[in-house]
Amino acid sequence: MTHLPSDKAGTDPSRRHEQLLRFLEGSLAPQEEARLSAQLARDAQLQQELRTLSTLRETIEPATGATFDSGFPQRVMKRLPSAASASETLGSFHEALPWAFLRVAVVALLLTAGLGAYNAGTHLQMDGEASLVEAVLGLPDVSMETALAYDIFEAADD
Amino acid sequence: MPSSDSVEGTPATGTSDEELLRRVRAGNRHAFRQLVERYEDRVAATIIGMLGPGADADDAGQETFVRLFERVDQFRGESTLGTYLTRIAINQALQVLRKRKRWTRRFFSREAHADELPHPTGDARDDLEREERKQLTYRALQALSEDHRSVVVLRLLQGYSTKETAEILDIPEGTVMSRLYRASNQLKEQLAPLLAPDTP
Repeated sequence: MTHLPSDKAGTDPSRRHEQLLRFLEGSLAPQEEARLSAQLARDAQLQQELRTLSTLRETIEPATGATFDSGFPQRVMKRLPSAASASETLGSFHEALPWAFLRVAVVALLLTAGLGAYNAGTHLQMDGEASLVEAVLGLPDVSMETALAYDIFEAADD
Repeated sequence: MPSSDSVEGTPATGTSDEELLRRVRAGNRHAFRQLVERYEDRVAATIIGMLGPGADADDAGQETFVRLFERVDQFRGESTLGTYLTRIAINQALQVLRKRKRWTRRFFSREAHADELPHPTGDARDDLEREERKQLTYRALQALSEDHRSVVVLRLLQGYSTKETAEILDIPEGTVMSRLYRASNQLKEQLAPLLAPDTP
């Protein structure tokens, strides 16, 4: 409980106001309350201030009973899914990821096998120099000897 | 009205805030709903005090709890859950106020709004129903600046101490006192016909 020195409360109107308010609330320390009661007994203006403050509190008291319209908790809970669904969606994505990856992997393997078969078939038809493995992998039909025979530094004809 | 930190969050019957938060962190949304029901009124008092009743306040209230849900792992219990929620609620309300100011300055300025406040005549105090008095209070609050309004809502309407108000708003206690003093004077002017006839 904060104590308000009576001299400071006397000179500073905001502190005096605070002291009067706490007097009405019953939250002054016993010594402070006794001191203020003695002051009130001899100061008519202070008594008036106290009465006015008391009446002001009573006047605005009805505003303390403000409530939201009925069904407020339901409205709050309905609003929550927009905060919770992000994590639910993320969870669903993580669960779906392995299955999606599996499907893509199977399709990729099938495509690769298909391309390999096509390359092998073309190689056999054309009777190329490269081995069957090189043909399946799609490597060009050029042997090392042929590649080394190319003169890469040969100047272009004008 | 908030009580001391040692008893807040532990209802007479039921589960403590700490246990509910633990369950929320484990994915239990029913536990979160219990927290919403437990703190709905406190958040409402803060938000509606700042914004007045309406769709904006309801939306800001919902967003307050959504923010808590999103940050539940970050809440470490340095303050009570009620204080933490109030802090979020104040920030949500201030965001709405700033948005209003940017787009509808002409119609929601403090000066324009203050002009619209009715001036009840002599017998208003006897004649006005509680609901009308509440509406007048809201409108008087809307006439305050954001800074003054927030201290009035927390200190006067919700009963937080000056120290707690300072912690929630992250301002010195002296600033809370001076803002509250100026805000009270302004409220006394706005609500003068409702106050005691011999109000100075």
